Amino acid sequence: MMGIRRSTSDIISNLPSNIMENILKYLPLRDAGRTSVLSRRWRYKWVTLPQLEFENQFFVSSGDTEKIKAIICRVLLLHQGPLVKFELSYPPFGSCMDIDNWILILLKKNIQKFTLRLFVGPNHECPCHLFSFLQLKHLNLRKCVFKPPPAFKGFSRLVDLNLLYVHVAPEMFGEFISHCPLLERLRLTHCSEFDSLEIYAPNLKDFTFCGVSKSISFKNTPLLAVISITLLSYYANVERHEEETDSEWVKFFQCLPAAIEYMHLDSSFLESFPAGHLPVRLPSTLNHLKVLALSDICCYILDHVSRALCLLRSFLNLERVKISMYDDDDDDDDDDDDVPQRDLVVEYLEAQDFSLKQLREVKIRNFSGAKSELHFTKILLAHSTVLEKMEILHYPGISDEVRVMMLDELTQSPKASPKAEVVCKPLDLDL
Amino acid sequence: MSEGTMAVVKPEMKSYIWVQTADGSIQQVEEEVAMFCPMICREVLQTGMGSSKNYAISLPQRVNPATLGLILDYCRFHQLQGRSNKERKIFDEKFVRLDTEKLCELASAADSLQLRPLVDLTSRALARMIEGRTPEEVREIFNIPDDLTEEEKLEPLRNITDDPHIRLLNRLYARKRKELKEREQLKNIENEEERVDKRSVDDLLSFINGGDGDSKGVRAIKNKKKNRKRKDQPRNSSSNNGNGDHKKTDTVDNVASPTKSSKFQDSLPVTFSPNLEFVEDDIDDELDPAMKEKIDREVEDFARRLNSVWPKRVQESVSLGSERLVPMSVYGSGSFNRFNGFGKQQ
Repeated sequence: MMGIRRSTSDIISNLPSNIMENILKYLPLRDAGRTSVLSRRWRYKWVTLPQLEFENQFFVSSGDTEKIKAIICRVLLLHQGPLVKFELSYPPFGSCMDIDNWILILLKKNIQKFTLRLFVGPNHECPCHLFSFLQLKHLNLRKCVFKPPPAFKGFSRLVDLNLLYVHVAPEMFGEFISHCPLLERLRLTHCSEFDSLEIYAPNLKDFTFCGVSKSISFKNTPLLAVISITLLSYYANVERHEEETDSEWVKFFQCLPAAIEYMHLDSSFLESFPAGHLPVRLPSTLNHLKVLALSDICCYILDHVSRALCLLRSFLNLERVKISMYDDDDDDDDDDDDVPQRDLVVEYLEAQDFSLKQLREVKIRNFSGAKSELHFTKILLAHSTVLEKMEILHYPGISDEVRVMMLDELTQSPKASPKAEVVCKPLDLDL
Repeated sequence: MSEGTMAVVKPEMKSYIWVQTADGSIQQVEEEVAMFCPMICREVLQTGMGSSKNYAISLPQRVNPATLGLILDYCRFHQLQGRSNKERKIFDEKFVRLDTEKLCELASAADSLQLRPLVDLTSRALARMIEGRTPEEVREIFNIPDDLTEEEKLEPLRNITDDPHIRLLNRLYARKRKELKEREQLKNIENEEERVDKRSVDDLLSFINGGDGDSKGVRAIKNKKKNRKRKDQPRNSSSNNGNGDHKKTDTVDNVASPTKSSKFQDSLPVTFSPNLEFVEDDIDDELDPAMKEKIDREVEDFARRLNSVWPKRVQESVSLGSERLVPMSVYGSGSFNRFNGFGKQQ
């Protein structure tokens, strides 16, 4: 793409410095560093980059671990001026004191975005000088140990916190969050096991939790709009008294802030409430909830189905539902143990009498064509009065004939909405 | 589409802004298009210029008529609200398919008109031309003079900041490296130590080898540095004793064969690392004793200040058990707690 040059003089080195900086900003770090050998004028242009991102491409081309560490340290020492973003993502080395020393060098740089993502070796203990980054707005950690020192006053500017495989002090974490008043987005994935996680975050808009926690409650999160909870419990449900059973379920949703618009709950979350009497619908309705996503719903498990329906009935303004199904069955033959259970579910579904008056769109993923799944889907069709589209994404292994059969069955089943259109497509597993 | 024709056909329908480029030529531009440029917009609103030919707004010098035409095309497309993001993206991709010289001119002109989106667009395009290319290729594309000597290309970049914090850090590392080296030599005389100890020495060494030996922006030392680089080789090989795991010989190799121009064609390690070769020798030698003492005091002071930030941490690590204590006892010096107290040894 080298066009006809009209002049033979240097066309780029004389550009104003803010354009030069802009160009360097869009280069991967190694290319930016290489500009230092272009010419005399280019020698130090790159040392004022606003971001230093040490990630994949950089590691691939920089030699062995010791050399990489030497280069990183060198770059940090050479760098001048404030640094907006520092990223160290998936280096070939694991936790080491070099990382702490680099964080030390970063202390004077007024860092706003800090990303440290490890994948090799043990979790890295965040040094206490990490907690001196007072300008920090975005913090992204993977495979670390994150324990603020006791006197820590919180990151007053923190807006986005993303922790993956990070060990935190569960009992102190709620307090830490409450000391970050500007926090808008919080993601905790596979972190420590929480007993009861209380979120006090007046500006929180987006909350994602995937892990183990006996309870999650929201205290003062008026702006919370997006919530995703996947609870992984590795232990059996605790026995609880009958009277308590539905109150916990009810209480959880009562504590949710009214502003929620999108909610994702995993089936493990549904299971974490003890089985028992379930109200037909929840007393408090989240009136702004427009999208409900349920993952790994097993259509022949009564608990999943009944709770899913309870939720569908409770949210009066629910417009879209996304359900990903989960079929434990590997073989097709009837398991005698399961038949009574499946029958229970069928009975339960048939007995349902409700109308979903706002639901316009349903998306079902991982559809396997099992009887129970078909049944559940038909129930949805039969009770959604304004449904416009039901999109079913089935496993790619299903043959065309079977798909056509399924589609026929669904199209011919009774529909509450005259406009309802059923579409059946194979899943695109690459997505 | 020429503005002149438009003016004749529909004199009442649109209003125009008059602008003048550095070469003196004046033209009129549809108002909504011109106002898309912040600089023009401000001129119009603050000074009222541009309403007629006699009061044309003078555009900055970097905007010549040809470039202005391009910029106006850009503005004309993007100022329409109804366009989808996809449409805009497709337009942008086609728009920057220009030769490099035009692209540079366009970037410059857009910058002077404060048209930020266009500056970013052209910058990205220029960055794409640099990305993945060797320095020779980049020089070829942009006509950049190759005015660094071969030696200079290999010479480590100096930290030219006056930031005392950085200077002190550098100094600190240089001193610690020296101390370490002495101890290392002592240790090599002794028998084989446990693996763990050796590892940590080399870890530290290699980390500190990554530190800057040249802590000052004192340019006077510069000439002498060129000769000193050669001394790195024997140093590096001695520190490699006893631990074959760390492939530090790589750095030695790179230093040894700097003049092969083909090396520059290789990927980063060669081009990057020579620049990062650290001059290990004592810069202390060049200072008069008084200055040296002063700097030593600064360094100790700094180390103390750093230590005071994390006394708790140090206590924690001390109480955590023997694995942590081993490296600390080897070095003995209190100021080393800082390096050993955090994170885990590999």
